[in-house]
Amino acid sequence: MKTTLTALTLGAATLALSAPAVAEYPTRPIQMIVPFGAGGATDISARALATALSDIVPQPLVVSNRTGAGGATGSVAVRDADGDGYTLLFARVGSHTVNPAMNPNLPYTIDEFRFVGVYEINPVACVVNSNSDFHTIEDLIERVQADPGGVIFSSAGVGSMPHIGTMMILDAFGVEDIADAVIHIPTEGDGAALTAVLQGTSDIFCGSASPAVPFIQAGQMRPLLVTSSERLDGIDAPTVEEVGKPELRALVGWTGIAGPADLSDEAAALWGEWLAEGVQNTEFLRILTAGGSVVELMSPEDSVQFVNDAYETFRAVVVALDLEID
Amino acid sequence: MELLGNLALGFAAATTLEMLTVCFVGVLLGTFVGVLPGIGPLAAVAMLLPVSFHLPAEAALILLAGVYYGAEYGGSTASILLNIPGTPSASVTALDGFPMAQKGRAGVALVLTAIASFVGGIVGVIVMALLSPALAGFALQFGPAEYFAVMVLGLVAATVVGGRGIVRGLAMVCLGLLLGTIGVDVNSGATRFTGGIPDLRDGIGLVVVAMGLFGVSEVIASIRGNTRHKVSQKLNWRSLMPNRADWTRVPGPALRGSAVGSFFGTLPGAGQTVASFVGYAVEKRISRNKDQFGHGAVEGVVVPESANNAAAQTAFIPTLTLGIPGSTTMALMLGALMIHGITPGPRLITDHPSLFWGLVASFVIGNLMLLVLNIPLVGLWARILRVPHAMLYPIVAVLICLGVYSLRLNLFDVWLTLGFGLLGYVMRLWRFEPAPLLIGFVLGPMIEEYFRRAMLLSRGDPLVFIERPGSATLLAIALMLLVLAALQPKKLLLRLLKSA
Amino acid sequence: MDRARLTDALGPLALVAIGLAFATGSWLGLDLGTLRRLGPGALPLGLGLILATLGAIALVQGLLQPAEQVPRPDLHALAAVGVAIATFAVLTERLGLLPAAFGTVLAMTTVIGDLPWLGRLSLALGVAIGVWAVFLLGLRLPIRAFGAG
Repeated sequence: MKTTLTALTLGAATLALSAPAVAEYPTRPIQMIVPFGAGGATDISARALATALSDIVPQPLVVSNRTGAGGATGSVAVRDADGDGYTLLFARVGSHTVNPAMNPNLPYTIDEFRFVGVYEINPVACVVNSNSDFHTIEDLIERVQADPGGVIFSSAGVGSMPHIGTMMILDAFGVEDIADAVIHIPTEGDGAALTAVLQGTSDIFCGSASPAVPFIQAGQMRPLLVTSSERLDGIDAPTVEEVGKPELRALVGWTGIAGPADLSDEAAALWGEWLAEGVQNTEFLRILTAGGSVVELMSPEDSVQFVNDAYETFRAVVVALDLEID
Repeated sequence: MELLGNLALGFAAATTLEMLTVCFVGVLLGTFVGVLPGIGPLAAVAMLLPVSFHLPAEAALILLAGVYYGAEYGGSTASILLNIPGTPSASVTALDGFPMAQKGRAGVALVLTAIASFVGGIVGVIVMALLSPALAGFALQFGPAEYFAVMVLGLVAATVVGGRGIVRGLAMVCLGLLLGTIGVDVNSGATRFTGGIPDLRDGIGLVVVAMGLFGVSEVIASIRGNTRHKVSQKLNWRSLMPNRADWTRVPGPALRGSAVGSFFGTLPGAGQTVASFVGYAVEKRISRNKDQFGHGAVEGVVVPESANNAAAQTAFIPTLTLGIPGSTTMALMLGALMIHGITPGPRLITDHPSLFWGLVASFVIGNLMLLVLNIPLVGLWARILRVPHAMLYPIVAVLICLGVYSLRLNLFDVWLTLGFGLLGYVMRLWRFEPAPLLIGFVLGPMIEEYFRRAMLLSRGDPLVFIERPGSATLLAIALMLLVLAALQPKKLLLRLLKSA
Repeated sequence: MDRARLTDALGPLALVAIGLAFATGSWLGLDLGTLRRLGPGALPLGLGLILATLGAIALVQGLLQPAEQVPRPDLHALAAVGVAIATFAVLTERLGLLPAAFGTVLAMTTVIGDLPWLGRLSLALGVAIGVWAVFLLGLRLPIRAFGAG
């Protein structure tokens, strides 16, 4: 009872409370922009991290969702903000890998951001209905090659990671003319794409592993492949290395924090320290691992390298398969 | 017997002082937020999401769910009093609720709304408790063709609810469907009809359309009208309560509405939107008082409210057991669960029995709290209508602007609301109804997606819609509704008898 | 044809025009696709044509029935609401939410002119305080109370 009342008032009090005034950064609340909708994977990750950081960062972190245009609206808002460290972005694979790779007319590029840390990796799993004839990823590839246009895959929308990722996997296995070899069903999200597999509307879904786990455990779905380097808990499927396609390890989701390109060194350095401490928070780790993510904090330099590599990999596939949208 | 055990577990979990407090805070907040025009359950749930991090999973879900159905209760208040509904289902309630208010029966309409909502909520909970495990697979039996048919049924129902004739109703549905295509096409990524305006890429917001067509146009139409609404001279208990004749018109419609709502609620997304329209259209067909529909019929308030609230409860079945959120609000609640490390899915009921049954029990408790809470509030709400128009409508205008702006913090939406307000006012002058436009607008993107998906799966064969029994049945019902409404068999029969 | 009938026919005519506009737009600017893979233009093309047809039917229906008088628009009320919403949009951006709420009420009541000046000012002040209490303090909406956004 007491904890409840405390909790209910806690939220209201977060804004009111602030640490004693200090001369240096930060002297006022920091805006943390989530470029996707409330309750989505990015939002959950962002709010869990912000909660973990609330004891560490001397000023309140105000998380707000600035949705629109597949993450572009929120991203542009942060790019155009001052580099004083009071406006930061939760960047995600969708906004900073897939969209830039697919859409040359995007109003921003990844160079226009300074990354202070990628902290979360989401491996991808390919799942089929447990009634399906496909028992291995090779079964599926054989069918695609034998019956072009006969296999249907679902995704979370045109230009989403499951869309591009499935094509990337088919490409790695040597499927040609992918646009005609398989039929694509875009849906409004990962949940709906998985439902299509349950209904038998779609043959396969390759996307973030976590939402598929309960269906795998209930025996309704069968995993065929995971893009991690080691096998994942709760998903009894070979890794991309076991099937001899290690290059597919680049096919993962990620979340990180970024500021505008001119973000001050002072702020970047402080964020590096805060993040290193924040990702140790047990509650944060519990929430993220329960959601199927791997918590892995990269240094600012490694983060930039990682984001650039991911972009190059996706961009190569987009160019090779002519997936650009305008 | 197993059910009784489960319910006992649920009530034990939900009746601790902590859970009761959380439930009460949720429904109370939901009621007040729901009353504010434009600020619906979505905003309220989003607002409380961070607070729920600090609560245990059960309490978090009970709190958010309480806000959600509390806001459904409150949402009808603004549509009855001022004709500014924020959702398609509230726009159905406004069809008869607002005329009742204009006749000085606002209190009666609000009391009936509370009671109908209660009946709908309880029926929905019973369906959920009895059938959840069985119904979990139901949504899976529905393929793209069936979803398409459900939405066609909803659209046809919407054209029948209005009193301006089938052709004008259908035209408004088409206009709504077309407005719904504005923005990026989900299937191809192509941009449609945005005129190069980036703010239109994600489409026009539902609240923008609803607040413009109904709210702003109502303000334009009413601000210089009578200085006050007609309110019964004395605001006492008696004048607020329904009379004996009213009461006899509650049970049948309430149960029928609840049945329709419970069924459609289990179909994620489309179902919740169409439930009120289908319930209203069916009732209008079979009621003895069909001539009063649209002019303040008691049934016209009872049916949509019971349908809507029953659907709000049964919508939890696919959300929790399949992890498919039917709406953005439901997606937020899934998010809240995931933050606590609980992934919705087929094993949720067995893995977390106290969470699921505790939630079911909290629905019963929450609905009771809402009933007790809302009836005394009726007097307060009815007093709003005593405020002179010259003061009331400027306040309403600010609330509308703020409601629209708060959703995306985008001022373009405010300008767009003004545009839809002008459209709504012009439509009023030329006797076109906004409710069918609104439901067409909401269902447009979904109906297109499912139509195109069904065609993709059938390899381009349009016969798929009548070959599958589920979609064939639903389409047949839709056709029947349309034909009955177009021909008006009673009038034809009378004419034949006269000429004979 | 009398004036009332002509005015009444403008509504259905507008529907025909809107329907044709959407249909033409999809035909010229969007991919129609094939029957199996319908393109982004297929549905708007079909719906646009249906809307135009329905508009035409409504037009004929209107001509066959006794003419209904289209009421005159209340330009005074239109101006009041237009000014109010425009004030809100402009002032929220420039001065913040509370000045916008104050200005909206003041502008609207001034155009309507039913309230004395004191009434207008106190209503506007009351609304601004109410908005601050309910939306900023209570609901904690992330909107700036004062200052450009």
